[in-house]
Amino acid sequence: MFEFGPILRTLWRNKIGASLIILQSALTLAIVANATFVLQQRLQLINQPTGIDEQHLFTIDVKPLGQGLFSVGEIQRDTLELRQITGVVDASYISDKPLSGSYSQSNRNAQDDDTTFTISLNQLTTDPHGLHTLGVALEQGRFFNDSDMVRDLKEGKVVVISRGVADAAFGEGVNPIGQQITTFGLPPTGKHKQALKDSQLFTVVGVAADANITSVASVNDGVIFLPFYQPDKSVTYLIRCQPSQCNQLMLAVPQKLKQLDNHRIITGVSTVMSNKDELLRADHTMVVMMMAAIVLVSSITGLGVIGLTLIWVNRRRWQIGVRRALGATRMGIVRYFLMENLLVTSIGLCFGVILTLGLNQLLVEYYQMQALPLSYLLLGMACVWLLGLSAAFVPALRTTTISPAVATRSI
Amino acid sequence: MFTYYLQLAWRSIRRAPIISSLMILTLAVGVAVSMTMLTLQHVMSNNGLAERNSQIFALQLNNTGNKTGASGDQSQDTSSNVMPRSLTYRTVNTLLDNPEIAPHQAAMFSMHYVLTLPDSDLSPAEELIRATSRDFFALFGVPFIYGEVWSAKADDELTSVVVIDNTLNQRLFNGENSVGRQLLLDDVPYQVVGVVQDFMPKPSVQDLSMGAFGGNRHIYLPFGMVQQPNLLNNFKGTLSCQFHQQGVEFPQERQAQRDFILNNRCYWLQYWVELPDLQTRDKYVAFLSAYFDQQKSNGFFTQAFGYALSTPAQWLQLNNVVSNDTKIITWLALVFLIVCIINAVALVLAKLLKQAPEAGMRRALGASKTAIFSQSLIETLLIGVLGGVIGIGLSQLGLLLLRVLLAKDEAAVLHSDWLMLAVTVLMAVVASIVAGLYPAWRISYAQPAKYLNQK
Repeated sequence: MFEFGPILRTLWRNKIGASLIILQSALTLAIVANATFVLQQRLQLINQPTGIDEQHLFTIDVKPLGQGLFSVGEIQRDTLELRQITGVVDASYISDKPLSGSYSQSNRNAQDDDTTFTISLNQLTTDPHGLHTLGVALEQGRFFNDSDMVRDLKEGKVVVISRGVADAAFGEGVNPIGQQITTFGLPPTGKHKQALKDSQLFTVVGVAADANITSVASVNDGVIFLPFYQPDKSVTYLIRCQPSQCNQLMLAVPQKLKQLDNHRIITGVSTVMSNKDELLRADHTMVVMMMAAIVLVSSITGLGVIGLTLIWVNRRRWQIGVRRALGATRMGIVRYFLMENLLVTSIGLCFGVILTLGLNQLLVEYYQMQALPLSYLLLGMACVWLLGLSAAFVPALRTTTISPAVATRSI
Repeated sequence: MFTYYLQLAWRSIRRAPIISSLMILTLAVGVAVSMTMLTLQHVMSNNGLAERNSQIFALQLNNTGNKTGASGDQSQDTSSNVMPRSLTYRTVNTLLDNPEIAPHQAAMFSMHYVLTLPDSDLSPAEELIRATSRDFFALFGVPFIYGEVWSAKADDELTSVVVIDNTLNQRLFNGENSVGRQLLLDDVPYQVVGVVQDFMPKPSVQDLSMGAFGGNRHIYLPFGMVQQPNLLNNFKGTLSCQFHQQGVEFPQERQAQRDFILNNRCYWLQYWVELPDLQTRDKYVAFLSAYFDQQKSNGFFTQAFGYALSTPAQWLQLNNVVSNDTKIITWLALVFLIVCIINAVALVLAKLLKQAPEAGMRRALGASKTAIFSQSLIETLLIGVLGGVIGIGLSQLGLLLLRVLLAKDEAAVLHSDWLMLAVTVLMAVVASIVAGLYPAWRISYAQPAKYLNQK
């Protein structure tokens, strides 16, 4: 029925041609499977929700001319004025631009009686409007009010932490409100209570929902919010705008700030989305490149199979004619060519599995890639199979036009 | 003879236009894709300090990775040899205080200031500035146009002097000899003591701490800037501190922060040293080792002595200037090229075997095997050259696409040079020879009798 015998014998007589297609489909599988895997990983990273209102946020950096630092009064006046502008949902002072990849991070290990306790967090200093401007929900307690804000952190009393930090510091299910914590996220419990006696302790007054504020993928436990106007040379304001108001506000806000005080320069205005895109640029590039790789290798292999099958069909016109004259149906001939293709591709895929895993192993070893899951291998195999079949289909259909009369002619 | 074969080849290509253009296209795409990626690697690994490659070295000390677990080190900014990218102030200061250990040493970091001119309507702009020790210019071979480098004293204490490069001198002072003129950094006057040629290697191998292209500056300040009490207000870059003792906190006040950074294990300084010969190098390493042991005994360092001295070329590699992503894509592109070559072999083989009767006839009429072989090979060579030429066009298209995808700095340097164009054609020709060799050999062994018989 499937004519495996004749097909194998024909292929055997055309060893080189057949083995070239076998090798080609093997390499195609290696590229398609690995590229799809990388593509999928990067897409996952790109589409991961950050939890902040990233679409409607932009930041503006202001730097005073001269040697002075920014005064608290200036910051409060600026933010108050910015909130009055129509189209502004909220505006706040913030120490690091969200999703810009620039942040201050602390990793602390502390030894309790016999367990090592690790906490890794980002410190973010902001004003009472910070959380609302970011668009992050408050899960418990309260956020800062004006009387919490200090110029010198030594005078600070309260902090707000994200859920992840609360769980890491106090344990899941423990109510963190009212608990004590350092700015590095260490609670004064157990043995390190003694060690922490010189450190400043703050009272947790609120817990914010988990969100990736500083970088796109969460690499740590979360964020600790500090109610603190850092004495600094430059200041960053975060502005949350109403839908479709951002573009207009990105012009209006610098004007307003200049109008309030002209003795300073605006060193940068950027949307949080553009920061995010910049942070993810390599991943976007990788997505496009992997798609290009898949499309290109499929087209080349597809075209190659079409070309080769075409040649094989032409070379066997006489043979086909004879078979038709001896009673083979048109569909029988088409099926013969498709079966031939399926057989060659299948052999290729067997080698392809080895090549794919080999290539993946190299990438894992040298370029910190992850091991290829089986599902991608199977998906890749299905794709290459389908590719080979559909490419062979057009030339195979051409055999239907060969009339049995061909058999009566010589070549 | 060659031109005749070329004519024959051209006729043969025209006789089978679809198959032939498929072969040309296959080779062109394969070559274009791999050349696009190789060009990216080529420009990204460009070593602007290649001339001094055997003489200057970036130093790293193995004082990370504390195994006792008192402090976390995931945050450590390390290069691919798992050593910190930068050095502590204590290390750098000790080395600079002993100028006899090497002909030139340059320590550096970056600062940001608002630049203005006194009595000028020049619009204020934020400038990134290189703070460095005076040997910087000699070490990297940056010649002075006007004036000279600041005094050794300026590297130790706060001195308001500045060296600018030619580009900035053109912008601020119309290219005149500006030595003795003043410029304002955050409203503080600084006196210009020298004007140097532009030093803008791409990638900025001298300082890769702010990205592959982020280390080139137009303004140079003396290393004595570390004495500035509010150093951290103007510092720009990566700073990472490790502390072991429980209860030690990073201070919140700016001046206390500066003191903390200078006295503790904080990594933030880039450092290069010139070591012209092995003897100097050995002596330098001996000094380093003695220093390390001494600091280990007082608890500043915790690990066994280890160091790395990297040439500019090695430094580019250690800092992954050619990213892993780029390397992965390049490998995939090369595998893709192999697919294309295999595809071409299959097509050439099929096409030539169709011409076997003709070859058999020519053999019967007296043509030698060599003649048939070379004629067939010339045909595939022609296909290869055509593929290469189209491949150049396609790779330009590929570079255009890449420029859209890459960051601005990277896109700006991404151009194929003559070398890359030559390699493209060469690659296509080699690919076509590889693709044509077996089919040509096969057909040259065509049995004349067999084909005569059939006719």
